[in-house]
Amino acid sequence: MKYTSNDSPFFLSTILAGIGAIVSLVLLIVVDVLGLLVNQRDPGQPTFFSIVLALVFLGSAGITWRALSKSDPGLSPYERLISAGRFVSIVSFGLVVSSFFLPDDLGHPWGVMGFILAYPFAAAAVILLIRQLYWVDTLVLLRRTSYTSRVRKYVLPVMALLVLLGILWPGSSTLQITVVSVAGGLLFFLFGAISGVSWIIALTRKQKWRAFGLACLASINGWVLFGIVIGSNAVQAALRAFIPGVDYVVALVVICSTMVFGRLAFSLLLTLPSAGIIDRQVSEKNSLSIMGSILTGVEDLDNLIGRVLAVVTGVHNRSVAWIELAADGDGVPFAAHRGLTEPHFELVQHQSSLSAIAAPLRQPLYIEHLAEHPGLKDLYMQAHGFLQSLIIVPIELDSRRLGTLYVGHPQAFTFERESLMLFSSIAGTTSLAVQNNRLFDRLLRRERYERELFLAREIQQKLLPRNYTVPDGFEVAGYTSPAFEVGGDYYDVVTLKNNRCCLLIGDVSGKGMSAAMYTAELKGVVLAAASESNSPSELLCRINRAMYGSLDRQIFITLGAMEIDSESNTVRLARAGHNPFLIRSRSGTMFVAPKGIGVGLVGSAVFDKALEMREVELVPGDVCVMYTDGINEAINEEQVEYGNERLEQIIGQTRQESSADFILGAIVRDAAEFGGGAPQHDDMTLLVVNRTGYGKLSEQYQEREVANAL
Amino acid sequence: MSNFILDQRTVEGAEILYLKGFLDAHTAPQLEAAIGGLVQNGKYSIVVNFRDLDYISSAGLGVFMVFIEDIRDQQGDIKLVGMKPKVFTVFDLLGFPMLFDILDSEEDALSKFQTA
Repeated sequence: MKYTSNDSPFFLSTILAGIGAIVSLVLLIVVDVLGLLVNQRDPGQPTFFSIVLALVFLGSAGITWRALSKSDPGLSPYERLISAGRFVSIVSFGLVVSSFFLPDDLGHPWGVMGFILAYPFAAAAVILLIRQLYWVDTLVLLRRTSYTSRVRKYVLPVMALLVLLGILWPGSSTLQITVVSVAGGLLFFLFGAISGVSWIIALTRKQKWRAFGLACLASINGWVLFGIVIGSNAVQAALRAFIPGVDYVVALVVICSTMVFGRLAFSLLLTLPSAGIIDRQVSEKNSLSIMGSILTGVEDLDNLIGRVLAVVTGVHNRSVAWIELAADGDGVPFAAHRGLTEPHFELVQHQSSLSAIAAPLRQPLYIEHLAEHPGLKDLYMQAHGFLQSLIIVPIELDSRRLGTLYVGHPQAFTFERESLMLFSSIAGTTSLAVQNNRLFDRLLRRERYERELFLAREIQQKLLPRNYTVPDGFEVAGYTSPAFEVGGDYYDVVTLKNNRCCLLIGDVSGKGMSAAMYTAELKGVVLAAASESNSPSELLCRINRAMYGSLDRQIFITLGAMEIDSESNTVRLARAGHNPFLIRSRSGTMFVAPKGIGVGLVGSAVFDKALEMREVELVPGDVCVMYTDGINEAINEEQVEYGNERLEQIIGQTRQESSADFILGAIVRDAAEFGGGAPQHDDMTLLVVNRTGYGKLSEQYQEREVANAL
Repeated sequence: MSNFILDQRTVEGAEILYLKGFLDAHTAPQLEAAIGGLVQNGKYSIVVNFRDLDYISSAGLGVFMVFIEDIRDQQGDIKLVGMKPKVFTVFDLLGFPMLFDILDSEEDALSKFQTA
């Protein structure tokens, strides 16, 4: 239907056509009643004017009907048949019943009352029968072929034209032409209708019975109606008075539709015995296509198994089913059912005899009758009311057992052997779907974890010092690279209570997330302790005091701290279990390791007493390097350790005018070169402090040289 | 992973643990379980022999800190003996010599237990 009732042009034209139909019918009745009363004219011999009025009525009533009736192109043949059959039955029945109310002596001579009764009856009969012809037409067109299209295109207009001629010029010769042409056209129709009924094969048994009943009813009604139109003088007189010759058209339409329905009823009757097999095949086909959609969908396991169980139980009426899935990795076992009560499900689930049979199965097993299976006598007794036959299908993927599908029925010997194939195929698809589901789940969890790690890494990056200032004459460069997304290494540049700059490097024992969390805590403690401390040793003691007790027993933090005193060109060094400081001066390289215990290992009584502080002078060009064990204990692919010696060597090779950044870069490059393709297994952190001004010294020296030469 | 092997022997009332291979985050739980088992059974005189240990990581060091307080509360001790220089350096840097008796040989440790 192109229009809807909201479209005003449609609405207006429908109303106009309806009014036209009513007005023309009333006019027709008035004209013929006047003719009867004034001229004593028999309505059986109508005037040209009354025939035109009748045709106008037919046309406008047809338009109104068509506009009001809704036809949905999406309807299936079955739905069309049901609606057509119902319509034809009701119409025929209605006409048969109302024909009894017509007076028998309608024809000779016409009385006014009989006349008034006959015209609406005839009008209704004609319209409803045209409507019926339309239904037959849709049934014929259920399977549209070039043949049926041609019939509609050429035969229908010719038929309509001849019928019109027969009505306008009534007479025995035109009547014969009309009857022959309508009969011929209808035969074409019939042929099309009879040849194209293959769609009924695919109907379910229930649908076939229903369609068969309606088709029988429609064709019986049709024959009765045909008998009345042919046999009742009153009906014939009424129809002929309304439009001459139309009684033949009505009779032919009735025959035609009756034959269509009779033919359908006969075909349906023939397919009924095979309906069970077709039913099963159709439901099997449907279930496989649903399984396909289950496989491609992404949903949680509950929904997934629920849909599988719905498919499985849909194949056989009254069947029940349940699925048990073994635990996946660290997951829990899963079980769901359909069609069972909870106590019954409990019963079958905890039936050890059943799982004993199911566990070693590699192929589907059909137990036709529980009582006949030696291992299931107990279950048979307990499950008498709801389970008598049972199919057990292993759910496997790549010969890995995921679980078991059970399909049961309250009656014995219910399933056919062929069903095993279907259930086996469903179990196969289920295993894939379950696997997909689990993989997807895992992926989702991993993505969430990775996202959190990424955030943690960003936060840890923000813990690193930015925009710090170091005293004039000193340069600082820092580098850190965690082995995983986050790490337990730490470095910082803080200002002490005495306003001197202090550098810190640290390493929380362990790696990854736990270590990273401690570095966050450490950062806070360092910031708080720095503003209270006047020396690196005091700072470390305060940090230990704050963190000892809050760390797990096996967790400790090594820390190195260096205070820069730019006035006296010295640095003060303290070390809480951390790697020694590596210093390069004019006299060479040396490791400086003041005594000290790792933070978190002992309380302040022992820690504070053990902690030493060392003071070292740095002159321009001197460098102090602080590093974590990720640098010196890095292992390459040959399992060789980087080592302190190589670190010492590479720093020894840098020039005194080199910047802190350059020295840092040299170490990082050398460590990367050493590591080659080996994965980094520990966090690496490096802090380089450079006493600048060496370049100026040498410039002055060069100037002096130049001056001397002159 | 069999790059870490743990042996155990009882000598003169002390429990001696022999470590071999790599003691790191993966293998530390083995040592932790072993010492934990001894403590649960009331064995508080423990000697750990590092004779064949090639590498120890911070996670390995942490194991000794887990039990030492409880053991000393029970008048026991963990004594560490026979370290290779490289392993000793790790303990030394962290300040362990100030916390534990780090000795050359089992005999030294046993005699220390007896005089205590």
